[in-house]
Amino acid sequence: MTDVEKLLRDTLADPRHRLEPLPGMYEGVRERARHRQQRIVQLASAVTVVVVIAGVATAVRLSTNSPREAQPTASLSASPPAHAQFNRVDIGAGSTGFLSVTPYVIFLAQTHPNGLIAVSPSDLSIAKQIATPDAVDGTAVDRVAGLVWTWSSTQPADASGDSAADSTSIHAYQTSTFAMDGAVTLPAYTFSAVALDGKLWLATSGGLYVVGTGSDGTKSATKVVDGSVSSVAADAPRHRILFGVFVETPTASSTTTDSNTIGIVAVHAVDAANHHVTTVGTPLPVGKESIAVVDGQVWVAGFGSDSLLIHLDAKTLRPIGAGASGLGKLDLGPGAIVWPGESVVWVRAGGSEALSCFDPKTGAVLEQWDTVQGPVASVVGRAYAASDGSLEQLSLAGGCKG
Amino acid sequence: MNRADEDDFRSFVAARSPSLLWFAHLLTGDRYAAEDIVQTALAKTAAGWSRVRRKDNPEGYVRRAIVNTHLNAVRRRPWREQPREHIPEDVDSRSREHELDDRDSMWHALAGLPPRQRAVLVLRYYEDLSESDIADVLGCSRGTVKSQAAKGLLHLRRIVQKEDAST
Repeated sequence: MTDVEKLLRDTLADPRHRLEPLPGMYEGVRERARHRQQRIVQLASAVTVVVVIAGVATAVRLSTNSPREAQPTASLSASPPAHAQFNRVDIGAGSTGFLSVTPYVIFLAQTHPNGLIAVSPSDLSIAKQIATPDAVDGTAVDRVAGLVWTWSSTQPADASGDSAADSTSIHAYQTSTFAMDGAVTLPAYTFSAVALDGKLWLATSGGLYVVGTGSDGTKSATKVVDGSVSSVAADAPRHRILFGVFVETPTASSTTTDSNTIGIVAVHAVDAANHHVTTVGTPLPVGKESIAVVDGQVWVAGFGSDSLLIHLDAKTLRPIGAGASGLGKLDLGPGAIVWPGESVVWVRAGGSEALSCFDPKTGAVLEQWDTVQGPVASVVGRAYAASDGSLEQLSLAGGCKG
Repeated sequence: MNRADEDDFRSFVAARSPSLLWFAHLLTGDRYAAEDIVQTALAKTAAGWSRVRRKDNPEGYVRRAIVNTHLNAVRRRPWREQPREHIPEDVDSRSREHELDDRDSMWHALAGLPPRQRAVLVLRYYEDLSESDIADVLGCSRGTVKSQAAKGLLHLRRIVQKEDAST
């Protein structure tokens, strides 16, 4: 056996790669088995219907001796329900903040008391719970590194506008044990953050920051882009980070003629490995924007008077339209917020609690809910919203895959 | 599934899940993907458990389902796992100075292998399967297993040598 073979054998047998099953593993398997069985039954029924229709059609053709007549067709697709339902489960007192979802764990931030919670998706029971040093503003899970990041921002108590006094406290926890993996503090207020390849990228009042792990195992923060960065999103397949920066504010703007326009932003891209800006986008007529990258498609939503939901060309980061006909019919009010699902994009109307799920490639609206509070996250087959003291599992009864 | 099969399946999942997850983790390199394919493979197995449990090696059957589930998923979503000639500098750099450096390097070098080559090496060096058994699991010829293993080892050797040269 060569040295490489021995090292490979030792590596594969390294107990650090051992995984402990999460609570509810068996229930999850049985649930999948039930869904699988249902799909098989549905498929068999559909095939039977098609065969019967084809048989009838053949019979009709034979009896009339006119093959061009009698062309029955069977449609196996159903229209999605206009307003699907959801189940709501209380998970304890205190408000829940941003949530992160993986196929097997839902991570939630909680205040009163401050804590981080891991919820089992099979029965929405709390699998793990720890106290956090601060009230967590948001969470981001890094499935590759096995970390869940939390951040907590504070602003100066006297509201003097001294941005230098802003700060963000960041902690990393191991997803499997919730053991603390490191902490770091930034001198800026954080608007949003996203995890990619073992690093946390933060959109802050002081710029785009990245938090990584040094050779000594400690966490450290580096400023990648200066300025006020208001949003950030991961484009994992392209190994890049997208971020939105304020180009003009309403007060300083000479071009924002409409009173409803609250700002102009541009979305740029930075390489996740070397931290170089790789693509510079064009100004977009929205403020308070959010970015979602799903299935290679880039969508930006924001508040303003023009296009509130904008589809960007992934290569140039320039607008390629405001979506297909389905999105055009959405009443978004003064603006919109988007969140990425695993295979869909979620959009919340700014003036209401209406939530829609749409196809990232076609812009077709797949499913809608009248009132869903809090941020939304999903993986294929499951979607959740977190609001004050509760976690809602949305029923994906229509075409929304999650 | 009748009551006896249900109880037996539940016991099997409880007893063998850690081992199956470990195996899936070696195949995928991603703990969540590992959990995903193990649950999917077990769900596929559940329907026919009364038949599977009577086999000589039910766990081997499930492991085969895990391999096939993983390779099918990769085929459907190729962007999820793309072999790279150059392994990016990331979390592995932090542990180079520690005693488990070599294994960490090897773990990350494995991430650069195409999924099928990785599966061959895991089945050969973790499961200790013979070439003909691996060919049976993957549904290919022994010659393919041999060549895939050779290519995989060559790739790993190059990466390890490069790591050694740089340190």
